[in-house]
Amino acid sequence: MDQALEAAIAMSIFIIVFSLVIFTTSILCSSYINNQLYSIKNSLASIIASIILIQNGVSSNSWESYSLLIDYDFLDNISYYVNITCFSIKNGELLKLWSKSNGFIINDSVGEAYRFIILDNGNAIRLEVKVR
Amino acid sequence: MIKPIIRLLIIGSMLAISTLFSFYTYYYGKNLIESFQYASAKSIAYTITENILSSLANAKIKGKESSSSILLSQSVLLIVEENRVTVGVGSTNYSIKIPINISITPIRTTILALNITAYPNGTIKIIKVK
Repeated sequence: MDQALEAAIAMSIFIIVFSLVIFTTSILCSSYINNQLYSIKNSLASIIASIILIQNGVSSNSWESYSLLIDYDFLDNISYYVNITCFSIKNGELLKLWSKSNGFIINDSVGEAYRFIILDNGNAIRLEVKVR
Repeated sequence: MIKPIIRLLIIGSMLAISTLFSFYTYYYGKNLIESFQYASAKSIAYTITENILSSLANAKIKGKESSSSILLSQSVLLIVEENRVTVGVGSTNYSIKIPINISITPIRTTILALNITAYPNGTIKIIKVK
């Protein structure tokens, strides 16, 4: 067989193997970056929950008058859902008093954060944040 | 036997394909490393910000100081300014603006681990762990 043809076949085999290596690498890299993304979304949910807790503290008046429609600079094209539920605690039982949310329900969330705190008047707050 | 002109064409195309693949590999590798660095910087910046704000929220609610420690998987350049956390991994920087007024001890150093302490008055201290 002609040497040029042999070289062409060898080159074709090299290109196929090279493509397979690149393909495998790209899959591994996408998997790594997706894992990072999952971690970032969980952090985002936790950051939003922490900011709301810092703003309201344990003041029951502050939680009752709190508006959930806040524009966060660090959320680029990311939707989030916040739900605040207030309970009274009597004889070890939780009785739901009120609940408020920002209205954008997210069922297929990527990141989530939950907080549960006791207020100055003895009631409890459950804070739920979901991020997609 | 292959005609000389066809042989020349085959060799020419092989050279062209090899050159194209070399350039593709260079740009693909470069973009891949940049994506990795960007994802790492972004992830670390959010983890540090999350720890800062979680510690502060705990301090505010409990009325006493709250601490947390972070062990980083790689050496990063952490720059903390008023209401802003910037993390550099290699040549890539990622910055997050914190939407509340808090007082953070400014740090600009290459670190592997850090300890965050928050006080109920809103002050935050970040210490490099050796």
